[in-house]
Amino acid sequence: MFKLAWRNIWRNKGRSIITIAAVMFCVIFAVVLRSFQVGVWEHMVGDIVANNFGYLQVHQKGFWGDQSLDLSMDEATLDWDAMENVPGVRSLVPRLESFSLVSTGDNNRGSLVLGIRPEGELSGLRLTDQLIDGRLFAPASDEVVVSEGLAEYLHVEVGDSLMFLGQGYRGASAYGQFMVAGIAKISNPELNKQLVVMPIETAQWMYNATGLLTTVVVDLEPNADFAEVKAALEPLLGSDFELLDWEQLFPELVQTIEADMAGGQIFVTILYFIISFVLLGTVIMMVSEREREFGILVSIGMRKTTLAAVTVLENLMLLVGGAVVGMAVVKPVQFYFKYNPIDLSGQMKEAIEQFDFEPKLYTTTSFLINLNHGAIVFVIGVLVSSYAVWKIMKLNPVKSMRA
Amino acid sequence: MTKVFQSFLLLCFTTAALAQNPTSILQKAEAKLSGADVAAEVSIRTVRPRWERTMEAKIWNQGLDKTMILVTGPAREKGTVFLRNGDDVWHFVPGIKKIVALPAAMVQSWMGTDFTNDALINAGSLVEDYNPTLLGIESVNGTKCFKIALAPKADAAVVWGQVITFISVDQFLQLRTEFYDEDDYLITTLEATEIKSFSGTNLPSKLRITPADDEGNFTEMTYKALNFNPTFAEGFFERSNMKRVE
Repeated sequence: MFKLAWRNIWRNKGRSIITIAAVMFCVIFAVVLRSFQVGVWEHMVGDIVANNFGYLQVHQKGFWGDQSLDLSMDEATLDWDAMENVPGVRSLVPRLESFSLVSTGDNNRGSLVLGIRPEGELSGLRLTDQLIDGRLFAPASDEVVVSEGLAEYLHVEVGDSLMFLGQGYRGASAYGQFMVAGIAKISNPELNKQLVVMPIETAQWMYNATGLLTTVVVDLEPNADFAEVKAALEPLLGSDFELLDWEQLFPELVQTIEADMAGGQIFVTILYFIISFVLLGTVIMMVSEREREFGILVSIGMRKTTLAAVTVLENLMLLVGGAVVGMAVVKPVQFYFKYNPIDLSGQMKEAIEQFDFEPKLYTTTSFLINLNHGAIVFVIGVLVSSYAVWKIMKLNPVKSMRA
Repeated sequence: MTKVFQSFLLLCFTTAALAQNPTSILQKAEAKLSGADVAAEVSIRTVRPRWERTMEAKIWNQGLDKTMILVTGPAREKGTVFLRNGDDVWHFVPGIKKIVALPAAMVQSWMGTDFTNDALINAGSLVEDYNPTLLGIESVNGTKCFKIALAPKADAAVVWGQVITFISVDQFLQLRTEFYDEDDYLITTLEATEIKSFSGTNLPSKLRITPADDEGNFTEMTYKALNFNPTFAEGFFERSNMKRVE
């Protein structure tokens, strides 16, 4: 039966090639489209969110909602050793974050102040690769590193001094005058516009919050599952604390991803509709072309079910062939754009930057997408083949031979 | 029957109240404090569910548009000065020895209290900025008060959508003021209590501001001394005086 189907395929090469090509392009389009979509988000979550904010954060209960320094926690109340020993936890990263008015005297802007210990930070804030000018501040010094966008806005350079004014811990006022030691390009575009990084001790002094932290970022081992680590950490924290994963930290981002994915799926669905009809067309063409042949086969004693099975097999071979070729062709494309993202320019770039996304299109190399779409095309093929089956089952050999 | 009687009483009061002109009630109330030349010593207690904090300050006021506030304690804030002269608002931070211009939007908290910059420094005048309507007479902590609704005038630079103030019938004291946003949500309530005589004028010595949304939060300002006829040296309300004022 296989042999029969195989031979049938090569009997009409033109038709077979059309079918294979249709399936192939459908798979290529769908996969490329989805790869870009998933890839952009993968990059966004992996590089921009995880490397700056981490997958898990510990705060005093209510801090993330309020963003108030009054809800900061005493370093001494956390069980650091027990938390660091949880499997999957690479390190714990202490931070003090708050807002402040930053002023040069002429210009001022509300900014996000982050007190950190750079050597223990997540890769996005270690400030070694990120520095584009100057150097890192010394620990506990009166020096800061300013993000590129903020430096540009305030017209400051390395060596200039900045004044800080804000609200400190429990109603105290926060103030300070610090020197710009370096300027850094932060991968998260939103942070890059408003971030000032300073030694954690300096931030604690400025906010009158000695010994206090607002945030402890849980840095995970590369392959750790954040949900598992979260479940293991939770019992170690008292009810005074909150342990949030990135989906809880950035629910808007999760929603945006979901909305965007839904949009992409609609587009792909339309694509599949079109391709279904193309395939249906070739099947109808095949059935009508071979009506006479089918009639002869049935009248010389071939069972209709066997004939239908051969026809379906033929079709499936074409479809699987097309899908495999499509998946294979698209793979290098996926890899290429993952490492060489498309850099958007012009109006598109500005529009995307306004939404605080990096204006670059990445792809994912996840094979799951290829497999998914291969499978969808296969299912469509089976459905379309049922037309041939139906036609064969109600075949009248005499009539069809006269046709 | 009692209901009818109550309604009748209410009607009587309302008619009596309506006979009064809300603008003149407001003017009499405002004449007590704002717009006058005043030197005051206050203590400001900020209360939060988990902590509280007290600041000491001196406030000088001349006319409607000149205000100077000097924080005298605690140590971390000592010497901090806020100055309003006309449209300019300045903030002197002794820790960095710098004077900073405050932005025009004055809705942020003043030094971590429940007072906004606007309320404390930029108070303005209710008569000038709002159109009053007399709503009736209501009792506030046992004192009969005119209840007056204030709608902002079209061109007034104010942050509130509506203000409702209660002014005592006998002494024209603003005992309670409610501030609403544009959607008619209550944002904060200002209450005045503990009426004392300051150089012969009866005034509330305690102002408490309570934000509507944050349970357990309020700020209380207590007047320790109030001088109605201070003499201001030439240039007292100038920027250059901020670093010297005592």
